[in-house]
Amino acid sequence: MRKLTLVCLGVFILAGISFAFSVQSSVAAEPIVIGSINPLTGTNAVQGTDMKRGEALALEEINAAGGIYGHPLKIIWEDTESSPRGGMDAVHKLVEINKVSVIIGAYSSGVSLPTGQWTNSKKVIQIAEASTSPKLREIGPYFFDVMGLDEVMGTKLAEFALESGAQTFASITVNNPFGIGIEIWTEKTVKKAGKTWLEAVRYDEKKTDYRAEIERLFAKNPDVVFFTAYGTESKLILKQAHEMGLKPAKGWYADYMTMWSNEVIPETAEGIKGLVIGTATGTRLKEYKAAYKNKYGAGAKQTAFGAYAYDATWIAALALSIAGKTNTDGIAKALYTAGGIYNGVTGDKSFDKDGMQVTDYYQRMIYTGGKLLPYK
Amino acid sequence: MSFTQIIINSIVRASELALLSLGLTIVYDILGFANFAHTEFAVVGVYLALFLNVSLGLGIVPAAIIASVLTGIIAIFIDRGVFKKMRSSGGIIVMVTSLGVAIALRNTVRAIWGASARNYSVALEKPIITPYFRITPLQIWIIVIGLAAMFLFHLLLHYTKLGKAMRAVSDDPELAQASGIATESIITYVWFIAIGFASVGGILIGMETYILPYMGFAIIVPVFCATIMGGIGNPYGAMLGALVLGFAENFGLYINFGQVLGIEKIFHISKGLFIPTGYKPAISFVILILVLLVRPRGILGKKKAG
Repeated sequence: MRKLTLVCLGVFILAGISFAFSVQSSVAAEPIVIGSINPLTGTNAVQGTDMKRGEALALEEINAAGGIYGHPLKIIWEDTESSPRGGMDAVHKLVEINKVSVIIGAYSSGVSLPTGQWTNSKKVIQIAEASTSPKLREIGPYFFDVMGLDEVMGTKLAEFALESGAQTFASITVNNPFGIGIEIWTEKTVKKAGKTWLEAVRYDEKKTDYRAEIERLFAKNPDVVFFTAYGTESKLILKQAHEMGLKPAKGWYADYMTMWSNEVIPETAEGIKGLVIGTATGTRLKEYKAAYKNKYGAGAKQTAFGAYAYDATWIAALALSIAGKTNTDGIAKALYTAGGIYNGVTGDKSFDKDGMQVTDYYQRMIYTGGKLLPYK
Repeated sequence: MSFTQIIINSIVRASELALLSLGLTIVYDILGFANFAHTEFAVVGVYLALFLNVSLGLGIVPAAIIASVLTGIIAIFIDRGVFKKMRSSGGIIVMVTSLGVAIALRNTVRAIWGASARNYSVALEKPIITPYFRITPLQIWIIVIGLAAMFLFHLLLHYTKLGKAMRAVSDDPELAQASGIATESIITYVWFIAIGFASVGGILIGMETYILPYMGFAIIVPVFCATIMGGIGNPYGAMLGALVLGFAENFGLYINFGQVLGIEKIFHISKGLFIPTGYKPAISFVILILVLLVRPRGILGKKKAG
């Protein structure tokens, strides 16, 4: 933490001095305002609430460290209601009414894609925090992402499942760019390994019955099922599969397990293996967890995504400090520098030429006894 | 999946739909409007049962019974406070009013209990697995309760004074009133019975899946489809519509259209050509359109006297 604070302070001081020369009459108390879009209600409310907490924690630290060239940072939080439509309403409000130049969020590629395309067309910076569809790469120069894309996650998840010795595979994924991305990359990896791909079931969100999807999934008895679901849907899919007595012989393999680990009925998810994103060790993570616990209490539900939101807030603040102005071309350029120098809670945050993450970190886990534990 | 399994799934689905479509059709029959708030009333029952079961610790059976009775009473109050004042305005106005009531009920539930998914305090079901099918004890209960509700409703309609009065009001409300039947009193019973049935159906669905404020909105399309398909206003039509829809939805998903149409070899389809599961609700509409093309008043629909 001390190392990061020193780096950040250095950047702030340099940026502050240069800005002081260029702008003689700045109003010291006037805040620099950015927007945030997160799912604070709806299917992904647990993750969205955690992300807002991560951002608020970063905001507190940024302002305690002097803000952005002497100005406090302020975040206007908007709720995407876990839907693309809610996300679009949120970015319209932030850009057209609040006139922000930088927006952090969203959760889910299904929301980040349409909002990102729109903010990019308006030359407003958007930094996605928990969105992983490879399609995000194509949005444009004002769109960034602090999480590794599905091509990395899908491949690593399939490699993990292949180690089980399974011969036949199937997937059940949410029918949006995120889910389809995972389906494509797991299927590609399985086929490359010479194994059999039996079925790819895509389900729609917010349904109240998934029996038809589950029946279709298990019709050909796959050894392994790749599973990706947001919290609410995962609760029902796993419950119904459990009550139907259906389980793949070599088990379920899930991506981003913290998307659902706080919400499922433990018995229904027992033994699911998979990957969680972000580093599991390191002083930065320990410091983050301690600060989080201190601010929100031990009972606050943590997911992996709060830490990404925390990192996105810090990177945005660093870029604003380096750019020394709210011109979005300058901020976009500064984001590459900020991503390179920032030592993130979730690891290295360097952006590639498309504003996507160069790498990301995944931990193998198993859900057992109602908890996610490291898989050995 | 086996043929027997598809039949079991279809009957379970039909039983759930029948409990909901039965109430919808009798409200239409007696009051002459399509009640878009019908499934939202069911959700009120679902959440009242949740409160009694989880917050007060009652068993699920007494909780479901008390919640359904309370929901029936709430429906009577809403009828007295809202629908009664609109009755003389015509079916369209009352139907639009019911849309408003639906939105109000959904958001009230959401404001009180939140938007997150909930479950009743009941143990997870363990399936009974045979070589031909698998079924959970709850699904057996759903079928039994569905059949019992239909049988009870038949008895009520044909062997009780109330049933005869209901049929009289349905045939000609003015003549029924002139004959000394207290029409408003019959309407009160109709609301209570219709929404009570809906509440039981909703609670059973909630037990089998999970509980969400928008579950009423999610089920309204198939419920209306079943009701209209069977012949809106006819209770037996609603039951038959639910059965047809239950079978159509489940069989529709397992028809290999590549094989049926003989195009598997032409287009080199190796995994079969099935309807994606996401299109299951669309099957309801296709079947509804087909039925209405042949019988515009639904399967058992008939012209009303006068």
